[in-house]
Amino acid sequence: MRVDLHALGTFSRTGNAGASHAADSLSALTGEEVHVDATQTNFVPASNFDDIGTSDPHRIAIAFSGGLDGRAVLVFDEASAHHTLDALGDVEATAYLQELANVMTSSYVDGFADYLGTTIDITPPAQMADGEPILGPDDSIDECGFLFESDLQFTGTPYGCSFYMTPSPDSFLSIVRSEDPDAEGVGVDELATFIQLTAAGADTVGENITQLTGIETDITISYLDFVPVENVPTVLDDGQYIGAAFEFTGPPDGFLTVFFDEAGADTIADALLPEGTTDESMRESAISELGNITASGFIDGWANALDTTIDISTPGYFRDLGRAVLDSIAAELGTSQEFAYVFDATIEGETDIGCRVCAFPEEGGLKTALTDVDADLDVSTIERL
Amino acid sequence: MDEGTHATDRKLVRVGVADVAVSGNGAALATSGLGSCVAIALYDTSGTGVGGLLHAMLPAAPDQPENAAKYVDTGLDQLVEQLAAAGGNTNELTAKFAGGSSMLNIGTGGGIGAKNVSATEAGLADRDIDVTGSDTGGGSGRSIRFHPNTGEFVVERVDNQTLTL
Repeated sequence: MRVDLHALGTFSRTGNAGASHAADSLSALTGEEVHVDATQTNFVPASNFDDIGTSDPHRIAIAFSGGLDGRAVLVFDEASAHHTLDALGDVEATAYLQELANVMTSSYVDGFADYLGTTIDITPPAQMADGEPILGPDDSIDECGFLFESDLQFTGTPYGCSFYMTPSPDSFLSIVRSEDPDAEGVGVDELATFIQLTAAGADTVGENITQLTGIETDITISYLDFVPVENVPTVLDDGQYIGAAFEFTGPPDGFLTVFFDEAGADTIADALLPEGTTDESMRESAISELGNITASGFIDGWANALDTTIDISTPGYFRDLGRAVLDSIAAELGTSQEFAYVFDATIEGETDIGCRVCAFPEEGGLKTALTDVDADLDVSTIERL
Repeated sequence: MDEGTHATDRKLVRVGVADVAVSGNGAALATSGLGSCVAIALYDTSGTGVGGLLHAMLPAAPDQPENAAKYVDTGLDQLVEQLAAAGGNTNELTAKFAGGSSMLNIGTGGGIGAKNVSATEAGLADRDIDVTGSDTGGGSGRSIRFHPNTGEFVVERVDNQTLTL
């Protein structure tokens, strides 16, 4: 099955607008300024759905049906729930957060209903059970599924909430399916294969980090973000990161970035260098070298799966705002395309180490690669560093 | 076309990438994570307190861009229009801007940061808008906070390095 990229792009922008409407609703109800910090259209492996949005205590689900079927989930962490309820005054917590979810979901799905020229009905909100996945109980995903995610933030505070929308696969694909063989589209199965390659690359990165540093890595989450290029910076939070940027030349051409949070970078540099090394240039070299190995772990998997060669530049070390690095990549991509495909993997360790790897293939080369890749490829057979 | 954000009674308004906002009531405007993009502030010096901030990504728009604020040239047009709509005197505008850095130290790219800076200078000159401060180029990211009622334009870099224009 092929997905019409124009339809997917329109859906993505509709999701942006929906998130903005939901933020306005939250602002109106609480009397505080709220902005959309990030909004993404994700294509997520089935196995990762169980790990998304399950750790926070205040989770409210609302099912919707009609022109589009699926489920919306509003998630607050404890501190943000308190902040929100404080803004609302003396009210009964569960009921009021559910009312918030109700209003925000209405705001969000109305945009999709307008786009589809139909109606979308929502059910009453319900508190979710501990550990209950965000995917609706009646929905199942074979390999990968679409997930719309928006992070809303009370401006000038650390508080906010996440808003997830999981459309039922059949319902969603019936809308974005490409019937015209000449239309601009990509194969869903081939995209899924590329994501599986990314997930395998993330596993390899984890293994490499363990081998080099002795630090066990235990969590990897990998998915594809499909975002307007101007939203690329919001793939990351607004913190400061240490890492390396690369350009790769194939096809596909593109960019790859490896981000470590500051504590993680310190941990890695300490593990890689002789004890007591404080020379900043040596620490930079250590991070760059690990970035180099990480980039190869990712890109070599793609190259081998495509039976081609993809060259990778030398690492460009950075210690800066993560979003500023991505801002520059967004501008590079934006000279030739409206939307970006971000292959996004998170690797965490048993100690204080967080590694985020983002690959940004340029659109034309990726489409060619998606045509060339075997949709039934067993990614475990792909050799990588 | 993105109509941008209008500040009402807010203390701080966030401006995203490819976004524009105006303020006429004392609310500050802020944008963060500026790499090769440029943040351009325009404010009315005639005493209305009206000002605005544009975070543009690329120097020049194609025909009929979907989002004018994504580009320096069309974004400036949009910003001036919104300032006029908010009651600003567009004959008394002053500019401050920052950004256009070259962060990807990997020997790539066509110098988009420098092109954004050039487009900003040309676009402001074309509109006869005086520039009273700028902080551009280099290799690091910036975050901006702009106070339209005073014209104060604060640039923050990593390690809390702060420059006030």
